[in-house]
Amino acid sequence: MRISILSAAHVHLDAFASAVKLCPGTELAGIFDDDAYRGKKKAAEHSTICYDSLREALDECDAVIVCSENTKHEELVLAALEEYKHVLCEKPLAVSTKSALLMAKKAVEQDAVLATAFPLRFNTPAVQMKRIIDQKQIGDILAFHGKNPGQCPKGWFIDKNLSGGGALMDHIVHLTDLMRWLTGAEVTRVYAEADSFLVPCITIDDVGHVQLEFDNGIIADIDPSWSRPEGYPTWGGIDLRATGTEGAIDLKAYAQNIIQHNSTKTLHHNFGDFEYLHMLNAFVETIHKNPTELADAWDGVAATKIVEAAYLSAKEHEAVKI
Amino acid sequence: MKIVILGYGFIGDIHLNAYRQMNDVEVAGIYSTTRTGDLQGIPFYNDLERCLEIADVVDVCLPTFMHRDVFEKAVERGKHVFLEKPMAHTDEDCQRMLELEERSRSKVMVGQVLRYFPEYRKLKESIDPDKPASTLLSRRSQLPVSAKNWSLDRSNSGGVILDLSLHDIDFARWAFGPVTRVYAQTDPDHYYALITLRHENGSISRIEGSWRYDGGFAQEAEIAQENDLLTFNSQEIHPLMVHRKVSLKNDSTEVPPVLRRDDPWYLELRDFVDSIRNDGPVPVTLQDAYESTKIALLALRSAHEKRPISLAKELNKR
Repeated sequence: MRISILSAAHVHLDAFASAVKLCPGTELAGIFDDDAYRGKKKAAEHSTICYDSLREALDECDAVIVCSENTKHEELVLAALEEYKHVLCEKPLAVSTKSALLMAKKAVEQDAVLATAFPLRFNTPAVQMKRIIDQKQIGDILAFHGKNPGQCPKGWFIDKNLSGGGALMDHIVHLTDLMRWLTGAEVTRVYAEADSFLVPCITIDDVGHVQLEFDNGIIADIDPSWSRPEGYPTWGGIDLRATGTEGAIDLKAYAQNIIQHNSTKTLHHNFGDFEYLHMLNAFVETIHKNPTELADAWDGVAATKIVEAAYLSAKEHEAVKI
Repeated sequence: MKIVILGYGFIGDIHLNAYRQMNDVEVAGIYSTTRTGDLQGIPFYNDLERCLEIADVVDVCLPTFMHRDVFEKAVERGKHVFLEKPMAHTDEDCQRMLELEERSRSKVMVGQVLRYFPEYRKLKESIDPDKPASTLLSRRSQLPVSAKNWSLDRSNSGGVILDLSLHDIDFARWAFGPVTRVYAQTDPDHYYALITLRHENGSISRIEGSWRYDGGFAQEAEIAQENDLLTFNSQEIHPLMVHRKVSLKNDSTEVPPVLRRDDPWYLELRDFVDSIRNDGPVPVTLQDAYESTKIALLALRSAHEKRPISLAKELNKR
């Protein structure tokens, strides 16, 4: 299966490109980027072709990975679906519920796979956590306490026209999707406080505190803030505590690190499984109509609804029902 | 200075040990409804009035719902009073106690002991007071065991928000100033709570309180300010670990490990005794403790009504 990557804008491009090369049965067809310089540079790094046009990139492949700025997802996803290409789209699927629904419905019309990249579903400690919850080892889940803090990714991430929003847009969806996946429950109420005071010289939201209520009564909170300064030894992390009637589970999804210190800084080197490879495997299996844990377009829609509600709540200072 | 301790649960015992390290105070009696005789020469009293008679200073370590009545009795008799936190479990009780205090000449201090924990003092010292902060505070333990399990009955204790998370609410207020908005959710038993606070200076604090954690007692703080991050997790700090072939059973009540010559309970009670001795101000006044207790009570209301509570609006209603 030949896979084109549409846009090299997102920092996850390297992970996607490596996964395509490692995955048995997939082949990297090339990269298209509306920023030709960036596209050529990344294509060279991954020893592949840089297409001059979207048309060429689509003609040469069976499926695509959309790795663009958030607000360009819709255009690229719809173009690929129009040509009956299967799509794995970087999260968040869309910057508005309206846009997410448009994409999800198009995929149904074209009978093509549209998947949302939520790699946590393939994170080995998280997979183990799901097994423990499914076996009811901690009884019934009552609450989640989640942290997905990070360094400010800068670049287009802090330009609202390209990102659609700051830390809330960037970092709420991983944990909401994980919670939905772990429990099968849907979010019904969202409360958020947000502001911009952690990263100097930016005006987009960089701090957020979100509380959620699910349809089965589970309560949850998430910290999506860009609260890790540049001197922090790694990009951030994802922690989730599940509290149940018979116990609790502490997940630190990216804790498998070797720590390196040199004369000026400290660095973390992760030695956990490469989740993007497992996610890509699932993408291929889904295209072959085999059941997988891959997040589909509707999971992407659900995540976007929560983000939209969080921004509304932060603005109105009210709890928002979904 | 003669002190009586009212109530001999786990906190009464901690306070007794603290007073024993002071050579200028005498613990003259302990009020208990269940114990008789004496404890290494300190008599137990089953009669509250008789116990109060012998005291200069009263240290209230009784269950929360009993605070108001004994406070009233002690203050009316002109005793100085140390109140274990929370000061009371209803706003009505708090208001009444504030009135009583105002009319009296007693010294009254509340045991918001987290302010005496060196790690929380160090966190506060390290914050830039001129900048807003984004903060996570977590406090977790197993279900506490108390006499007749009063603390699990939230009509008597206020549940996990008032009994456990109040520590972190008080720290957030102490470190980041007055609170303008509160939002909270709890599990049906009030053994677990999530609380969001917005402060006047723009800071946002989020608090997790759990009596459903079997992973060992934990207290955690993470404070982010512009280009700055402070973190602290009691479970990652082990200045001394003892490994034995035979594992010992855990105590039923979990308290944070303290490896300091002067523990936080000693320090708070020493400050209280000194403020009486020197006729100086107490470090944690009843009014100060009330400000935190009020936020905890509003958090309970927020959880009940499933909506954020704005403090400005609340004050305007009055």
